[in-house]
Amino acid sequence: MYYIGLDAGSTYLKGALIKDGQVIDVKVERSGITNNDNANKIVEYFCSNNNIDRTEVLGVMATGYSRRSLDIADDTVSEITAHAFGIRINVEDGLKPRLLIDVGGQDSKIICINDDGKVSNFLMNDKCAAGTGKFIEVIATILDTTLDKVGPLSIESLSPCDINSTCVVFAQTEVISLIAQKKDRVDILAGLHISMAKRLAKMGRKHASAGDIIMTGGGAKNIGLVAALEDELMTDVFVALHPQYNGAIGAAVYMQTLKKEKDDV
Amino acid sequence: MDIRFQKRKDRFDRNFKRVSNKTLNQLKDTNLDYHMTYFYDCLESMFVLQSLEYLSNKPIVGTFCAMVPDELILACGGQPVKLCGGNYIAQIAGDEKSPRDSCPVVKSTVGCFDMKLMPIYEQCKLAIVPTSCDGKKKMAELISKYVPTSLLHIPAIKDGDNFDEMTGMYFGLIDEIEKKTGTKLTRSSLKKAINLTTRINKEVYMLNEFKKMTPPVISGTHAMAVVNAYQYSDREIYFKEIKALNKHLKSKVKNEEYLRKASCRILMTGSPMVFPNLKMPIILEDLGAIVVADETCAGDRMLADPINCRENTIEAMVKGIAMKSILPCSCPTFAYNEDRIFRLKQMISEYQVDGIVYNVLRGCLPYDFEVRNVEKLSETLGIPVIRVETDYNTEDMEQIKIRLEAFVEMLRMK
Amino acid sequence: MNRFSSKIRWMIMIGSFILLVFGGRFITPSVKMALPVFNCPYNLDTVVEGSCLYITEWSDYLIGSNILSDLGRLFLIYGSTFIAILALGKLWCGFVCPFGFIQEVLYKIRAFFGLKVITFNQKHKSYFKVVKYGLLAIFIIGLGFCEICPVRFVIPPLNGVATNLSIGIVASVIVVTMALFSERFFCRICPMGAFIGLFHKITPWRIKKDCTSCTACGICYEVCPMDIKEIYTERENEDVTDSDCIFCNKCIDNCPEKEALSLAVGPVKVYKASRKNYYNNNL
Repeated sequence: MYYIGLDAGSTYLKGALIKDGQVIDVKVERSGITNNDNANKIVEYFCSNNNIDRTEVLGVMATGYSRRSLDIADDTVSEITAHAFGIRINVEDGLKPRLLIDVGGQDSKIICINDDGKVSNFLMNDKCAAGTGKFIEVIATILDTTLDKVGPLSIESLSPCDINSTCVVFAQTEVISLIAQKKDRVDILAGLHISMAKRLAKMGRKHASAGDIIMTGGGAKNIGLVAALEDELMTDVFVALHPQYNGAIGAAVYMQTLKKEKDDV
Repeated sequence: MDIRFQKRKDRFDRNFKRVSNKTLNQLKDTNLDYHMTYFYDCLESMFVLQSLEYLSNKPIVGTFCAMVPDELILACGGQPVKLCGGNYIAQIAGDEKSPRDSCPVVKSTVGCFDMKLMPIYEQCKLAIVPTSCDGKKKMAELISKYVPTSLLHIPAIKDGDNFDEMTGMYFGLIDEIEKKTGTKLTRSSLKKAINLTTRINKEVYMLNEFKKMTPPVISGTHAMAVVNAYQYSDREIYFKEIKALNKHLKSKVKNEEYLRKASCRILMTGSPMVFPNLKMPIILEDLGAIVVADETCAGDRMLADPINCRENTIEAMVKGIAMKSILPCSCPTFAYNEDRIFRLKQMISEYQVDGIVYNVLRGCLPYDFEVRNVEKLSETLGIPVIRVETDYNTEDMEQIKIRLEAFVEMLRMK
Repeated sequence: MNRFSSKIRWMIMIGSFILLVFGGRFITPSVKMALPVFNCPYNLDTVVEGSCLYITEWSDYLIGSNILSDLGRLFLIYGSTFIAILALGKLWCGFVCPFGFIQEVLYKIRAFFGLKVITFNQKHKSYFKVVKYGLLAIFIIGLGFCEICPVRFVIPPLNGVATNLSIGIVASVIVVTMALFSERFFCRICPMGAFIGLFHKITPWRIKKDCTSCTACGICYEVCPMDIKEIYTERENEDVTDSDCIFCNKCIDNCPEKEALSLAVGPVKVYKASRKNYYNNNL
């Protein structure tokens, strides 16, 4: 009774294996021209690594940008729906997810979830890089550091700089001028995270309702961003258990729900 | 002729036809009803083949919005044609002459006039522009150098007490039209024109009755094509064709030949979707939903209300026309537009709507202002609504598709 | 139930007219009742008299020494009047009143000859209201309404009955002329209508409105012979019955929206507006 979900993003192809509403395994590959082969590789990996037969996998559901190109998938679902399903099992016990903030490499999403776990409203920013992982990536390169280090560094700051532009291109200019003013790297990074959090909070603030706010996506692994968002929204922000795999997990859970409904009928 | 101008004109013409043809092919691809032939041919002749074949050969008088009455034009021996633009190439052409933030309808209209992209713009004898929104008001100035323009004043507040004042404005129109068509309006010609449009109104009403059925017997995009074709047709021939279509649909219902069971029923509202800008309904129907109701002015609203004449005098008939054009009109150009909320509420219950898609054209402020009211209505009724802002550009097709797909999935799961 | 259209109303009006004005020539009723319409009792050939005389001359009938001997007859006359009012309200005006029928015929004659229409606005209506309640006062107090009654010089003469000349003949000429150019002109100032209208809140016949279905097209206001604006402007309440309404049902005949207006008896809607009904009446 295994199900596999595949999230075909623009940079990475993520896979998740679930059984009975529990996440068993996760795997990631780079996206590319060979997306189909990568997808097959992930499925084979799940089977061999967990000692299960291919026939025990009752369904493969794809989501993400290039979901329709994966031949191995039995069906597709949009990322918004997948995320809402994924967060059902992708959080610690005791949390009631009502608002999902997904910060991906090239887009960010706000998804409102009602008491039944279904999507009640959503907003997407896929028109510009503000509020996406791209923003951090570009600035990290200028500051001569890497994505995984920027979070912990930024938390150390006691006097964050003001970065006014949300536009990645113009923010670069601001950062360079801040460097010239001999500002400390941690302060600039803190300012960067605050700027991003402001952008995300602008999208999500009026949808924050009763229940918990969960972050997913690559951006959720950035503790600096999580902290900045908490400061901006003035409330607790939690991180999903497997933040980057929420889409894939959700796709698998959705497949399971569909199959169960079919069996029940 | 200046060769650069000619090359430019050729570029615009070529791409204009391609854009129109693309939408037409998308409509024809899902063709389930061969009785649509007249309507497709009418649109093709006008937009792709650039001929005036499907119009009568009377002098062309251009109209805009839903407040300019066809009946007066028909009674004065003219051929009414809607001049609102819907083509992306025309929008690019008009970009240079109109402000960057103006809405695409205005831009494409200006573009069509400037680059002479369709023969109706060249041969138009008179353009009647209602002062509905700011964009239209200033556009009237812009196009007045290409075509004689006449402004029709639309009051911002519907005054139920002063129907006579409104009627006066429409009387003024008659003189202007008569000068250009060269035919005087008579009591019998006006009566005949009103009778014709009332009969067409009845057929459109019956078409809407088919759209209300569950499961549906005609798809929303086809119905939109039918209603859009009205604006570019000889009204007498159109009446015969839509009557035949209704008869065909009736036999389909009798034989229980319904469309594939559609997953959810959508109400489209907001800024007008003029051919070939049928981007959103086409996407929605590709995703398996069906657009059952259409509250836009280029769609059902134009032909929704009938004209009632208290007496058979010219005064009473023009008053009836004036009343129909203004009082039940739910355009957001009117302040305190609660009529629209009532109309939406009624449509939602009659068409059994599952979700509302609110289309806002970039730069269309009046419709954008009313999103809040529709959101409040959606909360009260428990019907989800999604606001989608776009223009005639097809670059954002993928982004719209993602949003609409998630919306349709959300509706399916309710 | 939508065959309940304007044709039925005309049939009832014609039938009532013949019966009430000329009926006495072939039917002699054994029971004398009165109906709340302007069917002048001076017309001796009537089958059922109009209550107008008995309401305005109540002092003659209800006060006096011979009231006890006539109790049965008075009971029947006043009893039938009040039961008729409470049961049908101003439906009597729209469906039965012979003077109303005459006015509608005059208006149709005007249409045939293509003569001009005289319309009134809300300001005029307020003046007429003053006249109406003035006449109602004269009517009820019993100051001799029959002297100025215009109907006295129209209905009895149609049946060949002459009455004493009085200032009412001037009123007749004015009213008949106005009724030619303005639909149901007398009904705007009719004291009998005003009298029945006093009870309009308790009679069971109501005009109901579905404000969601209504598109505020204004047609109902435009066709209403009594210029009742509230039926068009109301946006919340369901009951739009007005004391001026004569229940001619023209508003429902011409309303194009589904059940936006309907005629109801208590909670039951017997005549509902619909687009199909609209096209039947207007195409």
